[in-house]
Amino acid sequence: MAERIPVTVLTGFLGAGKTTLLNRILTEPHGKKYAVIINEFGEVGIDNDIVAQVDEEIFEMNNGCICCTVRGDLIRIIGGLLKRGRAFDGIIIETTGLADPGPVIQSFFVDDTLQKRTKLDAVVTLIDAQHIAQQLLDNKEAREQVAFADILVLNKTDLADAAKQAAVTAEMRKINAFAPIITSERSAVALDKILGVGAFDLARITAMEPDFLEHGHHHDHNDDITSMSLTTEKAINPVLFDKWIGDLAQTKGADLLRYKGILSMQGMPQRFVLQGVHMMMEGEPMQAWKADEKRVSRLVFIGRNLDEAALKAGFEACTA
Amino acid sequence: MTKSPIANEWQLNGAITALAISPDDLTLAVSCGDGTTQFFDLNDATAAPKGVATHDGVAFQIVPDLHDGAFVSVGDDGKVQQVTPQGVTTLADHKGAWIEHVLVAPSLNQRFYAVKKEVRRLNADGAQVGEPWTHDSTVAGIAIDPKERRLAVAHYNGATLWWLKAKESAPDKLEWKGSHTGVVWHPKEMIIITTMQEPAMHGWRLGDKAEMRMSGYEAKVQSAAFMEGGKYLASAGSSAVICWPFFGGGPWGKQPLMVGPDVGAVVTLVRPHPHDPIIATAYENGGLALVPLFEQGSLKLLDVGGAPVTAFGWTLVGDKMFAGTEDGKLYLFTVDSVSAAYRP
Repeated sequence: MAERIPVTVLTGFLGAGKTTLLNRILTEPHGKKYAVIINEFGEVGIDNDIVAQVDEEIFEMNNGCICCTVRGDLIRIIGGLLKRGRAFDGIIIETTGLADPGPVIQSFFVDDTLQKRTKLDAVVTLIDAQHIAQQLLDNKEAREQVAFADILVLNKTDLADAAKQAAVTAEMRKINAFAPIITSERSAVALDKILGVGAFDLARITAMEPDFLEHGHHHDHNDDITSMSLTTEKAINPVLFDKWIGDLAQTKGADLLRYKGILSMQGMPQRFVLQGVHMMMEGEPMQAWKADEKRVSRLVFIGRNLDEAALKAGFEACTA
Repeated sequence: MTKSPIANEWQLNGAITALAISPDDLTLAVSCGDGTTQFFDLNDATAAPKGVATHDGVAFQIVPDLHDGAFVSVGDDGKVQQVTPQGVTTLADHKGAWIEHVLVAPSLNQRFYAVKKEVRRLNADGAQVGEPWTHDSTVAGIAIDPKERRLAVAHYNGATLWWLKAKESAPDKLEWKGSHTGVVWHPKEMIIITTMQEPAMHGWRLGDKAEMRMSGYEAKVQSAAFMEGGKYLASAGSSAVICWPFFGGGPWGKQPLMVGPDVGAVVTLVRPHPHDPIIATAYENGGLALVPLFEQGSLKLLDVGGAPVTAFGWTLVGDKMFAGTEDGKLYLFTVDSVSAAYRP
């Protein structure tokens, strides 16, 4: 069957430069056609053949033991766009500043049409270097958009000096220690850094080196989103791990925003790669460990109320 | 099989998104990805189609209008268009808001369509009838009961039933959590069935509000249709066609018939023959077959591997069927061409 169409989610507050970036993507001479999905109340002025509007309608799905909120409007719109046949090479979803990226991502995990015909490529969050510090303090949505990002684009750096950029970077790193940060002026980002990233492709999750800028955590916000990383050099018992991560997703799913892991399982010659959003997770054996390679397992979380001690203990108990 | 069952085929521009046949079986209208409606005169099998520019985008649905030869087409440009081989008249324009559902009720002389959270009605002159009917979320499907007294509307968390003739009557609300993506009425009884975003269907018998939950599908049920006068409900969503029995007390506690060949893919479209117990069945991998309800064996119409069939229609007398694909191919199968292909 035909190749799955890549989907890029572009998020960020009003004024961060999403429309400028979007228009750059659409007008570059790459020969690719994109379908763009925008919110009717979002930024206007997008010049493209295929533009569809959504109204951010979520519904709750109860699928046995999995409970999640899903963007039914995106499922419907993308289903409708796919009826045009091979009319476009990619889809870009521009969310509003107040959108929760969680349900957007989950929709791609739960809908069989989207699973078969599309593949999530990356969540790209655009940041206004001048205003993000205040936005992070005032808005839960701003913090979530940083947390869910696969790529953070620190835009408008012409309006923020080095010290401010460093401070903003530090604040973002408290929330998301893993996403690469690219700086830009006027949304001039090299497109190959934000398109075709493969951030949700298990085969391309090969390394997750956290960028923890400081030890210790200052809890400034009401709903702290933090990043943490667990590692071990002992092989993991797949049965114990399966139960532990399953229970974790069930009980703490609402607080787990994103998590990824590359694990060395007992008795498995391949690295086991997994990723998850809230209660939805997927994992598969991927490339084999090389004979001379040190088998280090790493599991990273971005979430709220992360009980580091408990997570560490639970993870280590899986190495029995 | 030595001969192909295909009687004729055409290559049209862009994906075929919808098609409809006029009730007098004389005109076929095919909605194409280039935004045109291609009209075929069914009396003249060899004539080239006549194309009429219809939408600035694609059509989502096309249905016969109140008089033969005319059709109503709705699409992603926000327009409700009346279209004939002679040209197009705009009945409504919602400036880019997608319109995915339309139906025409001849006995009421009205057309119904859905835009965002509303259902709107137009009379034969194109004027709006009454105020729009609004819902809490986007309308995902509309269907009218066989006696044209009620309109069922599918949306998040259930369905709403509107009275078509009573002056001011509050709608009835049926509730079931989840996203309901489409609705069909039983041809004889007051039963409605909704397809859902999850791999299941739901249903209500209106008299006693008894509910039905049909699950176990491999994928979403993208198509469902009653057949045999309402005795069976054929449904897509698995590798076999799942047919639920609606007689002898209804589907509760009964096993469905599971028919059709295993072509290695999920069924996406089911279109029962107008009178006979046979179902035209389209699969995700491009396969198309005629599947009998009560017999073994099926007749292959299209091999797997081609673009999936996205639109299908039978003539009312049931002697011809048309299938349109995602890559713009239109196929005609006739009783004669299929018999000739499968003659032992």
